[in-house]
Amino acid sequence: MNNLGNYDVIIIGGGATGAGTARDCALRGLKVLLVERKDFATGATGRNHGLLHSGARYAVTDQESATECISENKILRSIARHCVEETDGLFITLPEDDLDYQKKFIDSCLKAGISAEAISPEEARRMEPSVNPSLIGAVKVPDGAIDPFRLVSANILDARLHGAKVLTYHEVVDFVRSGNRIEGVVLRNASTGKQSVAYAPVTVNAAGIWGHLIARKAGVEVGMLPAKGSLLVFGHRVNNVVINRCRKPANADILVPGDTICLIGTTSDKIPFEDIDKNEVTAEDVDLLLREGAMLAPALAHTRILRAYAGVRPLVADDSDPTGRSVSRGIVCLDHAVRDGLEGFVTITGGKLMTYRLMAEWATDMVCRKLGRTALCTTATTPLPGSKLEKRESAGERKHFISMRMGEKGAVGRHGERSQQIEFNNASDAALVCECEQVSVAEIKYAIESLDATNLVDLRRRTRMGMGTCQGHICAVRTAGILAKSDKVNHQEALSDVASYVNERWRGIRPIAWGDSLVEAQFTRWLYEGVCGLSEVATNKEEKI
Amino acid sequence: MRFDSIIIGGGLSGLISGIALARGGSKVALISAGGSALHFFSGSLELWHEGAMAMVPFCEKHPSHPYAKIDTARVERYTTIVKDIFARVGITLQGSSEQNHLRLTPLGALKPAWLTMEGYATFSLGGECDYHSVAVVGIEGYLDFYPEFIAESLSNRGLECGVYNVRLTTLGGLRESSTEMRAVQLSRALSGKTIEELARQIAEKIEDEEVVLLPAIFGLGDKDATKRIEAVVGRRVLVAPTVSASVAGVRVQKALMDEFQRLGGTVLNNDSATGCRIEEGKVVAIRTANLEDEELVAENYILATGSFFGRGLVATAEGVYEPVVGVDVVAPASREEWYSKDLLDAQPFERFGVATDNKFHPLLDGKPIENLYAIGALLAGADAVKEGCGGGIAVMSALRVVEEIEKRG
Repeated sequence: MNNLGNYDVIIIGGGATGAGTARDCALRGLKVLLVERKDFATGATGRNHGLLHSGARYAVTDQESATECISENKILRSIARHCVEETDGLFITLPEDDLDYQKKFIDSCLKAGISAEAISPEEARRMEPSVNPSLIGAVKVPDGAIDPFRLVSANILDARLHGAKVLTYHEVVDFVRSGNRIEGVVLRNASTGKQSVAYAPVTVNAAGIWGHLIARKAGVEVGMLPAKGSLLVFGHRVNNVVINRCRKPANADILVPGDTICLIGTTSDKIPFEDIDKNEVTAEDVDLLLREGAMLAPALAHTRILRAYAGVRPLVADDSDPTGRSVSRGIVCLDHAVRDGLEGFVTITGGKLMTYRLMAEWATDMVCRKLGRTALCTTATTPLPGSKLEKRESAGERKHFISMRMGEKGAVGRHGERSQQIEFNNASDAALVCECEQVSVAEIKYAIESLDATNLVDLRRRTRMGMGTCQGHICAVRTAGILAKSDKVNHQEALSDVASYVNERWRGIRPIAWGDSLVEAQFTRWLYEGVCGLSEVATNKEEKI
Repeated sequence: MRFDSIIIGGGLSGLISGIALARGGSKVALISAGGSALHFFSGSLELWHEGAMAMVPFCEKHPSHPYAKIDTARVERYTTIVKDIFARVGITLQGSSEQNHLRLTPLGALKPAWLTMEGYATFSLGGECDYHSVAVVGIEGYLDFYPEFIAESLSNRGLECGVYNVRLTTLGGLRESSTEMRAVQLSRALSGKTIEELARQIAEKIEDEEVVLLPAIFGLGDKDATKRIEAVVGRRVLVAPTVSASVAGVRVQKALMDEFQRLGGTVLNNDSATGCRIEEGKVVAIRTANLEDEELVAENYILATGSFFGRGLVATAEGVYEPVVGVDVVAPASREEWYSKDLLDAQPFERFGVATDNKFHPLLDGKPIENLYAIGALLAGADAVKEGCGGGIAVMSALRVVEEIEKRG
């Protein structure tokens, strides 16, 4: 078995929590290994609204979460500017809602430190013209949008810049233990099947809902209740302001704009553990989301739907309830030495995308205590790479945004000042691979070389390639052409990857494949199978996640 | 306005039926929305993936398939007619209905084909060709052609392959714009100095390969581009299809449209049929989007509006319908029965379409409309991609319906 060496800490999970913890540990001078069984942000991190919560949603029911949210909201606006859109949010009251709730809502927001200002229906309609015009009340709060893929990518990048080693497509299959102590992990490489081993005095379980299974592998129980939430992506940006319903949190009552699209969600259904990798969206989910979505913004009823997707929230059972039915609120950080007598193992779970940084801080504090290290957390004030959105400088001269090529503009928006690493030297590199999202050859090359992308689905998460209206019908093969020229994959793998990618997109299109979406799917099929004969040259067509 | 026949749809089936009817002296109008599936034409038409011989036993087992409504004895005659129609517009189609050949795809796969445009790389059914080495040449900045994939595939079949890339400096502004390096734009720019530069670079770069293989991006600028390149490099030049919008498709559609008009046909361009009037089981008039106040009247009407892509069929969350006449459609009500998991494998939705009798009269409430016909991708019962029969159904159903209309006088 290949020995990957000794580290101070091993972090399991490449979602926001794992990536944030890897960054925090690396910034505090620890020698870090992060392992992820698939790609970054493939779990709940990449399967939510991308909402920069103000905390208002939780204000009435959960003050603690609301307070954490508004505090992290302010921090993310300053450390992750390239991941955040400062859109503001509205909580609207419709004729069928109880307007009395609004007062309670505003009071609770203010108590948690969230600015919440009641505005007139007319003002709300001016602020967000797509809002349901029959609203009878509205409250303005500091909600926003956040790109979770970009956020994770920036955390990983900074962790690596500070010496962390990061392995994607490496699954933890076992632990190295000595008595009541975890001393390392046994990993399986998903593409080669080869096993390797790495050692550290502390291992952090940051695997989201899969953390339940990881803990069990380590010999301890962390009770979790998987809750599936489905969302719909619409083909263009109907709203510029986040729209919520001002009532007790319910299904499908948040509409979030993000880049070129907008998202409605979510449903919430308890599912059994054996279904946590399925992420199936049913026809009932779609109907409910459409019905409720049109209540927030009536235009959604006749806006093209791009795709449907689902994620699984890791709700953590409350340790104090012996029945296991109560759910812990907020962040859960477990020292298994104290809780279960297992040394060298920490679980960080619960929480939300919004509080990933705080979760990372708590976990890192615990790791440092165990290692006897004293370095303090700086992640609340240290900007992430890409967050300095200064104008790109080229050859000593300021290059103005207006004079940039399309793909270059897209890259600055996505990678901030890191886009200076992207070489737009010649016309070929500036050529657009993905017209919907303005992704250039140069940006794809950068993501392959510098952002750990090894296949088309990874590249989509790094660059938004294929996330737009056409859902990747031509950009997939263009990107495969570039990927095949790198040393990451051979031609055969690149072609199989196109088929896997097309089927991954199809998986999200299937629940809503009527109207223009079916037209587009038929075109994709005619092109890839009819014109190109993809099945004949692809050895594996299984969808990748 | 009054016509003998009105054809709704300007894709392959609409154009072929229009030309055939106009040749016979009919007064024909054709309503075309503009684009069609021809815009990603591979350069080849497919009749049947397993060859014409296999159609007979297949049709016996599948009586609702469009081919089951055409006597296979007609296939050879119709093949001659379609080759003749193309020949008259200056496009030579090679191949026959006796045996398929193989065509090269942009990713290097070999697929069965019925008729292929001259100049495209083809192989016998056994995968043979009359050369042993090939220089696969890509153009820098052009992203819809993959020399590496093609070379790998051809090498695996025993051909010696070299991969080369040329950089065309004379393209100027086209190269500077990040969205303009696409087949159709490139094709228009490929004339004069640019062709010279391309040919010169190929001649300098390639080794002693017998054949030069280029992306199919010629013919909209300089029509004799490949001949001029051949003259400079001194080898045979063949082309392979590209992934995005097809130059050959744009060329074919324009040539057929011109031919239809030359024969006296009337084209209502950028228009679409919006509805029709039916009296006593017959269509008596249709309306179009552009002609608000005037109905179009004819003896016969042909629906050649295509599948979902052509908007001949419309799917909603509740079901599938045919939007012009509202004729009966074959499609299950439950969306769960519309799809299968692998998009590239057989898909139930591809078989959705208009129900017809054996003479391609669409049914309305189960009864055929005697002066209305449906042809091409709109017909129910076929998965053109999986069965390799899209072009064949378009041509065969078009010519069969023309024959029927002419017989009825």
